[in-house]
Amino acid sequence: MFFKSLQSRITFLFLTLILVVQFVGFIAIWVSINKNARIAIAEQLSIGEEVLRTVIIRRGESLTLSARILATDYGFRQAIASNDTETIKSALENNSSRIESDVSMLYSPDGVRQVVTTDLPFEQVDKVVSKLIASTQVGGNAFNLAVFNGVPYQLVVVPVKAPLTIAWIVIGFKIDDTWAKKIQSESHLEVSFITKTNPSAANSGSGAKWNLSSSTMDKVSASGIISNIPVAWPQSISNINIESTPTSTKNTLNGEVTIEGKDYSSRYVEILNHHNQVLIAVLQRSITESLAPYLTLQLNLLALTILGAIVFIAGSIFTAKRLTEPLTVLVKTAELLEKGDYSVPIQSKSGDEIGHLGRTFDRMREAIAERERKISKLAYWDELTQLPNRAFFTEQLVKFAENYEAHQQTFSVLMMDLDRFKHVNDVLGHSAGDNLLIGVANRLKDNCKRENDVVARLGGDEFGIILANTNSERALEVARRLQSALETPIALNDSFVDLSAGVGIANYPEHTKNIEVLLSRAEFAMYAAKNSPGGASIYHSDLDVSNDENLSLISEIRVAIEKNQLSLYVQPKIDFTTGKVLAVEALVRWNHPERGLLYPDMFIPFAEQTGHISKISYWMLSESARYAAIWQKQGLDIALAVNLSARDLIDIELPNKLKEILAEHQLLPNSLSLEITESSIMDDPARALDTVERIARMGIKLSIDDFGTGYSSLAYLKRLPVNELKIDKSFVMNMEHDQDDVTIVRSTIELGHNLGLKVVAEGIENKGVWNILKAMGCDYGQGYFMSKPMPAASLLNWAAMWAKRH
Amino acid sequence: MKKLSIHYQLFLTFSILLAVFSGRLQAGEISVDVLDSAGAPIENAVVYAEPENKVALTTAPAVIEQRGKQFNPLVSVVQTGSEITFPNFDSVRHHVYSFSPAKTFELKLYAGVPASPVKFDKAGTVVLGCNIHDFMLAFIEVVDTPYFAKTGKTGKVVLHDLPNGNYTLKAWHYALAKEKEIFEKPITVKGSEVATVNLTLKPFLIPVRK
Repeated sequence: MFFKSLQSRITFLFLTLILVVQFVGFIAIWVSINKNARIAIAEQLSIGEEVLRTVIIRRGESLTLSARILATDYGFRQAIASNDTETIKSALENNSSRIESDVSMLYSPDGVRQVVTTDLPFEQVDKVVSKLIASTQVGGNAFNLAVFNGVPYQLVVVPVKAPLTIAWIVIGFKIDDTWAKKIQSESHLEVSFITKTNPSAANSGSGAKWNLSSSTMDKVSASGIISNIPVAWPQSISNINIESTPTSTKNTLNGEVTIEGKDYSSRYVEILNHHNQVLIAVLQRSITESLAPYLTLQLNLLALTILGAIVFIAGSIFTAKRLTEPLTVLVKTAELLEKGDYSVPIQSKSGDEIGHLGRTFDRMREAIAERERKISKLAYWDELTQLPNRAFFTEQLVKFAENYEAHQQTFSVLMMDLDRFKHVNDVLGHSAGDNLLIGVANRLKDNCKRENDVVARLGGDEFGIILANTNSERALEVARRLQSALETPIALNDSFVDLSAGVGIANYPEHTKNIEVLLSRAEFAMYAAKNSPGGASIYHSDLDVSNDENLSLISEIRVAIEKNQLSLYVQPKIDFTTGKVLAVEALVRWNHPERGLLYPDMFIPFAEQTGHISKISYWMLSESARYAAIWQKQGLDIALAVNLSARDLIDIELPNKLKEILAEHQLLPNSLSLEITESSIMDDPARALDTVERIARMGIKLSIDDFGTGYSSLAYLKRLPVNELKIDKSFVMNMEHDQDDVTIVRSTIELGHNLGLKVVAEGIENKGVWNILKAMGCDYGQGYFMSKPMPAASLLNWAAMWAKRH
Repeated sequence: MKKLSIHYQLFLTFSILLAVFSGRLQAGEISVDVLDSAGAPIENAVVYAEPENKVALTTAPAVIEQRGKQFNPLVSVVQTGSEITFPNFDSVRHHVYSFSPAKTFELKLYAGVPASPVKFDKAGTVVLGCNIHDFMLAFIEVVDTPYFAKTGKTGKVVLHDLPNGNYTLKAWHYALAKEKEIFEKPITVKGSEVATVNLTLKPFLIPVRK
């Protein structure tokens, strides 16, 4: 199809239809007109022939009448009776001029020509007259037609009676143009007379030529009649009838001839054919002329056609518009729907199919909008907590970022992760875990009621909050408020659960303008917060693996192990009672080729997050075993305590690895001990416990590191196969000034001892603390007061020196 | 123009049987049968015998009346010098005329009996017409002999009281095929003679009153 739009297609269709209909109608009418015109012409010609014949008869009769009048004139008869030729002639002439006849003659009763008034070919005339007389005598026509010198005449013969026939009067008219015009005036046809005479009776037909005697047409056209005589004349017309009696003939022939470029319907009427004379009346009607009135009709029709076409075009355009305009509206609405705008209703008032379509379409729009609302709710909604989900949260972040671009409104992202959620799930069941999450969500909602604040559950026990138009201080304030809101225990299954959460804060655009990065930085801040007593921390680039420096560190950690850039440091644990070095805590340092010596807190958190921690741990174990072996050969029986991460504890291969390492250096299990934090177990207590128990069965001693910071359950402590508690240095360092710390430390020591565990105090920085701890009965001490961490290789010398001093 | 009767007899033969009455020596008679070519008798034929030697004529006045717009009788035969009266019995006037060479005359429109009769002083045929009524037609055969007669339906006539002697027997009819050729036949009368006259007639239309 040529047309893209429905409108032009409809218009084209309508127009084509109307034109085809009009064209067919036009043709049909034209054919019909032509046919009818020809029928009408044929009828006209037929009537014309009747007129012609009637005129001939009428003229004959009137001629006869006038001849009779002359014949009955007494004086005229006297003149004839007295054979007064001169008088007769003048009487004939007088009569001729009176009735305007062309021929006046007197014949004797026996047919001998006696008086003539005009010159004629008398030989022929006499023959015709004698036939006429004979015909008259037997009661036939008293008049007839004859052709003399190519000129047709109508002759009448009337007897002069006195009272017997004493003479014959012959009177005749030329059949000339006047005659033709008379017939034309009555028949409205072109009338011409053509003749053919045979001067010699023996030479019938072939030699004779047609001669035009008179015509209503102009000379040129009339001569065309002769040249256009149909070739195939019927036999009756074409042959000159030599001897036939002068009876009226009825031979006719119809045909069409073209004269001077005009088509004529012609009727050839043979009105005389006898005695070597043929007279044919040619009746003609110009087809062009008779079609002329129809032409006007046709022109009117054409005008109507054009008008009709215009009306139809207008109509079809109107119709098409009426059809397509609602469609266009629908298309526009559909485009809006495509863009996700479901707000524009479709106005469809018309009752037709398109109106129906429009209304259906509108219902569809509403249904789609409703479904999309549901779907987007599903997509952006957390059904459990009735909070938006991570996807929504991320999108909101994008919007906030856009808003910043427009209005310079900063915002903060708070990320919160519940502590020990897995533990609750494991102990109290998943439905309790769910209820806990719902409780947390409600508290968060209650505490973030500013209009633009967004609270979302990002997954698991992780929640995110967007605080609009804020700064670090306010964000921190909110974080604290949230934490205190969580402090009230939540009732689950008739028991109360204490809650705590680490909250990380990242500010936009202060910390980054990348939403993804912003989220991860808030997350890093959150992890950092978990490891700090405050429980809330603002992002700092040092914390962040995604910090460019740290990122490069992460990638370099693996290389560090391979290229042996790590080195083992140790910090001795001193026995309070003997003052001897019984064990050392193995620590790692990274001799970074560019940055120099890096402390564990600069890369261990990232190693934990990226999984490199396992390799580092393995390296530590191997290196520690190596030194243990070295020291034993030197006669120094010092155990090395290696820190394990949560990730190490869920590695079920760890016990086997330990075995291999011990075997490799031909060490006894007590040459190594392991330090684990409470939180490292809490991540996945079941698996961690399993690992720990297997290790314990191997005879390797275990310490609880950082005891007192991890909100750990004493129930766990009871179940753990540990030998030692390490009191966190945060309690130890301020013991001299903080009585609470003293109480905590004392209680811890008592608790440890009561459970049959050795107690180690970390962070001893002066003599005073040392003394307090010694007085409390703490088993071992560790800290700068005794020794900073030193390269493992230096331990032998240090130990020798330490032994001399004590 | 209505025609009451048409004679299609093309030929008429007059067979004139001359019968001579033997008992009369001084005066004889001729019995004539006028027949057409088919042998049928001809009516209204005029038969007359002209004597070799002139005889005195004894004229008698005749009448041709006009009644019912017709001349009556149709055919009259009179001796030369006879006078004929044309009384008009119709309510309309008539204009009787003749253009015949034997007697040209006219009696202009008149009613009743004309003041004077017309004298026919020349032998021959006179055709009478009425200028008012074209259909009126009558014939007068003027003969130079006292011996004449007109046939009736039987076609038979007898010429009486003819002195013995030589005669020319003549016969005329208005429908003679050849108008000018009157039947002529020499005949010698000795007593009762018999003659047959055969005449050839043409079709002739006696005009009839409308």
